[in-house]
Amino acid sequence: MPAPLDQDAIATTLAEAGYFADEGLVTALYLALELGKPLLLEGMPGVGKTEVGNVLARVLGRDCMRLQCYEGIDATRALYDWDHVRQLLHVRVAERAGPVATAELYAPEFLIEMPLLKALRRAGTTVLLIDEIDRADDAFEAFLLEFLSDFQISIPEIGTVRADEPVVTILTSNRTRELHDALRRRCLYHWIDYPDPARERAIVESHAPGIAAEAAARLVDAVAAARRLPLVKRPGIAESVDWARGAMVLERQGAPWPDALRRSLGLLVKDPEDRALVERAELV
Amino acid sequence: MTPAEHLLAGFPGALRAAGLPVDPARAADFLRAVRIARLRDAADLARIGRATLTGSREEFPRFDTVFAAWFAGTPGVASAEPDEETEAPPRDRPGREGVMQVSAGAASGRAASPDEAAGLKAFRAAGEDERRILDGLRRAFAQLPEVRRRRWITAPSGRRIDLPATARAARRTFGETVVLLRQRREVRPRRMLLLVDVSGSMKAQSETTLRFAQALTRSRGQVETFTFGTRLTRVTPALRRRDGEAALARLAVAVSDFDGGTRIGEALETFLATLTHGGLARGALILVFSDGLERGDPAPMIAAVHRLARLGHRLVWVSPLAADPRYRPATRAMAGILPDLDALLPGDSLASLARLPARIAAIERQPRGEAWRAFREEAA
Repeated sequence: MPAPLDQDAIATTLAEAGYFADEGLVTALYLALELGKPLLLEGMPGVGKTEVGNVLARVLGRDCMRLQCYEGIDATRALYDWDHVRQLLHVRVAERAGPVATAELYAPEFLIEMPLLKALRRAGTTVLLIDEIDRADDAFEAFLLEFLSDFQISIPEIGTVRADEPVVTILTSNRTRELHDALRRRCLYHWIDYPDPARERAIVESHAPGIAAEAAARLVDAVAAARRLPLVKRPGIAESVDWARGAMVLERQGAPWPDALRRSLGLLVKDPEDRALVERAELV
Repeated sequence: MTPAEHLLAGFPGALRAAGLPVDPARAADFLRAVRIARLRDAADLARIGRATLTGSREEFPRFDTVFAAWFAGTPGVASAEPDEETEAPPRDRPGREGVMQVSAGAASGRAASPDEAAGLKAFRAAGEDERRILDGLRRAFAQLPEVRRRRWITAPSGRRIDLPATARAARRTFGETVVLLRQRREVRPRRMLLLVDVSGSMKAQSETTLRFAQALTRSRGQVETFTFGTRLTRVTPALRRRDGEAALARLAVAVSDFDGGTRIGEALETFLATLTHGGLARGALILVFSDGLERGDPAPMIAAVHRLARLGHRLVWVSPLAADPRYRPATRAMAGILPDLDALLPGDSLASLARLPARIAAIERQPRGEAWRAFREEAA
């Protein structure tokens, strides 16, 4: 079992690391650690799904092993591969000295470990982040099932590699594709929503230290209002933090707050039509 | 077991009875979780239940209903609507009044709003001529465009040599490379998105259009279909049925706004506002089957079509009105969207729909936004 953190400890250590999680996420993380099950996170783009994996690794004092999924990803990219070129070279060189045993060719030095295998072998010191699983093909999803339910993988040349403890695993999905039920069944689930104003303010103030209280309040209100507009791309937390930082730069050069916010609006909405909508709504 | 334990142990079963896919492993997780996690009030219990017993956000509303009913009467549960601000599953456009809802197209007994035509849509069986055309469509669909994907697959005539596979094969021949294994990029049909207007003004065409959509869905992967009138309904699952008549019968149940009013702009806005749908449009060949007769302000429709055109690979508007050679897209709405269309094609009958694939194949090779050319003299 991973570090015995209770829910309060998770919430505080995450907050110290700059991640302000709501109670639902804290509960889900706690259960994922205690039950030894993967956690599937879904939510709008930019609400900090990927960041959960990174921060969790930091507060647990572990390495974050990130597997970025993409169309066409397969076992050789995710799990392991043999260094075929080196194997062939080895055969050529070793042949001069005499016969070569095949077993030599499957020595660890020829094995290239990819994130999943690395995570299995270092289960105690790793947080595995399988990012944007919806971008992978459904075949890859099926390939992950054995890993997610038993934390083991079968490799023909080596045998079954099994983790000695459950791997702390976070999966994220942007829902560009419906995930298979079999995958969902093996995971705990949490939907990350946009934060409420108080939490968003805490996030902004921690990531843009030194921002004036009045400006932060104004910014958070404006972001919340912007999310209610029919925008093509609604701003996430990353955008509000960028906006705060941008406005601070302008403010330091002497622009008053409302003006600084208005001029750096491009950091919040990045589509010309969205920008026109936000400007018309006069949020700042 | 104490009564409380009984109550908890029965909860996963209640969810299952309500149709949520709760398997025994999940139920066990829930019961373990209840023992170890902090449990001060019903909101905590709801959070634990959601994390362990649901698998997607769509399941939240049903979960909450069952939760409230099952634990009703338990102290503190009456007020245990899970945290309002962040936890409640938002529709994709929170805070907008009168927003159009997306229905999943399930055959549920939804109450139709007054402006929706009462009763189920009655479809007639396809006639002899229609059958013949439908049967011939398969060949026409073969002309529809394909895309090369990122993924490499093994193929004897591929242009890239698969080095790992070649090396693996060489092991069988003592390290000598005897065969070169090749691979090529995988080719898939281009994603298609069909948006079908089923309002009253399209009454004469919506049925043939849906038959066309069903034939297309059956013969090709990656086809998504939505109907819209006063609401937006995803009908892809219904159209996947092999038998055309059975598919239409299911549609009649799933689509509650047949032959009713139309709000094209709002329907398209709703489509675009749903996060997952943007992904369906991206890079897709989008076909909108509508006469484009928008009541009221055409601005939302024009803006939505503009956005749709930029998301998709090509955007083709199929209108029954375009069958008339004298037709000109002169209404404010149609004139407004014309610059964004890659083609404006006739869709008055199954015969003209059958000619679509060939036209689309040509449109694939053209630059974008060429629809206006066909009506050039008028513009001058």
